[in-house]
Amino acid sequence: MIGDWGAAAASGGGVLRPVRHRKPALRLLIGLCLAAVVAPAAMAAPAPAKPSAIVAERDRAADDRAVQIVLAQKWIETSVDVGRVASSAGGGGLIGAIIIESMDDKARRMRDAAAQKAEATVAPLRQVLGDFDADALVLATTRAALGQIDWFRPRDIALSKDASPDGRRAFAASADAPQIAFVVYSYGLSPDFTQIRAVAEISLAHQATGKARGAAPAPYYRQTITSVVQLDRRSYAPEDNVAAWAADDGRRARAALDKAFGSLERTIPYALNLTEAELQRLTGKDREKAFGAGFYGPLIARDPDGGMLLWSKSLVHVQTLPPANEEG
Amino acid sequence: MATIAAACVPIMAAAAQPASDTPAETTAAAAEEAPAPIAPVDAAAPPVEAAPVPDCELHVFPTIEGQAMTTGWLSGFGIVGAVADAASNKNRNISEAEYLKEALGPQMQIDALQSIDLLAALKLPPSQIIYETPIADRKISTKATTRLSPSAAACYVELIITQNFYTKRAIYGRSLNNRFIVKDFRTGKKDTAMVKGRGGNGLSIFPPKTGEEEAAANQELRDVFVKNFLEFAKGYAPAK
Repeated sequence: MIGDWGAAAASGGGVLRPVRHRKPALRLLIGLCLAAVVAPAAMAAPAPAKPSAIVAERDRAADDRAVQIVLAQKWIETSVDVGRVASSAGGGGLIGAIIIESMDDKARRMRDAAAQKAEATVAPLRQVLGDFDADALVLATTRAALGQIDWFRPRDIALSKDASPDGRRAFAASADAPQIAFVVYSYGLSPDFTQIRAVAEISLAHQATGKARGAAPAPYYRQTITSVVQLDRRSYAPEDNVAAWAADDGRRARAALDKAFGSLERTIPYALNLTEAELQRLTGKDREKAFGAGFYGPLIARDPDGGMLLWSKSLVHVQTLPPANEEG
Repeated sequence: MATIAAACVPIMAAAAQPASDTPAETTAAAAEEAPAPIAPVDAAAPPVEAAPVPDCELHVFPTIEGQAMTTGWLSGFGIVGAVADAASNKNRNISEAEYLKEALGPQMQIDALQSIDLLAALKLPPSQIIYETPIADRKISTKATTRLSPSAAACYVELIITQNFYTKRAIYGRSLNNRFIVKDFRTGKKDTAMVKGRGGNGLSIFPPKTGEEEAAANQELRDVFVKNFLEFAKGYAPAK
């Protein structure tokens, strides 16, 4: 109430009159708008903590971990990149631009067409890799990788084809271990078919207790590791690259997949053992940057054979297949 | 699309030329001249020494981009006109962008640049010209100031093509715009300034209306691409 009277009192005027609120309707409107913006955010459940990229010392102390490996794909996947798509908003002001953008599905249609084309292009490679046992490879990779980490103590390593949250929830509910580890693998070709990429996304979660048991596990750690193997002789024509991978019963593709998963076997323990101080040092702004296979970021290490490990939002290991005359 | 593929047959053949960065695939500047017919070796002729490979390197990164935007008269008539114009040109913009990606893809950009004296245009000394794999991520191609190849050559320059953009406007007509970046590392620095620029010129045949026009339209695209590059190169000053 002091405010209502304040101006008149401060001016020293003889008659005290209440100060009139100017534009009360506008203030009310602003207040309502603010409430409309703030209220949903305030009422919403607090967002779960973002998983860390390092495993803290206290989290390493668990007795053991139930491990679920997920490999949902049946064959080598393709990927597409249509680049930038020109906006159709050429007039009509801001409102026109908003309307045009909302009805613009050019990017999606171009992606669909590119995906269809990529699926046709990859067919010869899929055919020769028909007998490729990716399940055995990811199992062996995970066992070997986790076995190198003293504190990890993996137990009950299970392979699943179900990448859905329900699948994770069911595994977590059935696991009898203080922590759960999920290692989700995928492998596929780059959009230009010059690379084979194997990706491992590792997440660690504490086993839920009490009423929370059976709920989706919220990971405290998540890290993605990408292992790239590129052709030594690359072409601008996708079908030429597919032919190179598929030649001799897929010899190069098989070698690349072995190399890619072999790299993951070494990089997974490295990623899980990283400390906060090491991560800060590796991703520091003053660190030398490197570019390889479409990835760019702080350089962590160079291999004697020309490969490199870098940090491009996550760990990326890049290798190149040796020329045909140098293959062992 | 079948006709596009037919038009691209010589391109596919050219694509067999590898695009990687291995030394075996580098091209000396002298080798850019029209290839001489292969003659049988005359035993009596004195042995010809191979030309020394230049120490300098020019790494060329073509782009996979292809954007198209057609706007008509309606776009000038307020919100309703603009929305109607965007809706009526949507399919055309998709098909022309896809056509442009094919007709002026990485191999065609390389072919076009091989038709001119690239080093002279950029005022560079005799250099090996190395054609690299395109970089899809624009944050890298347009922002990374360090080298984008493992080469440690002291005399090292990069030419990056970052845009292929076809536009058709009611007033100005059809045009192809390209953007280029040159990064010159001859100063010895690890990070270098990026010299960015563009070129844009009109088109009269592209996009083709009939199958018969395809070859001419594709040739026009390449010619205008070269023109755009020369426009950029004209204003480019090498590092001192």
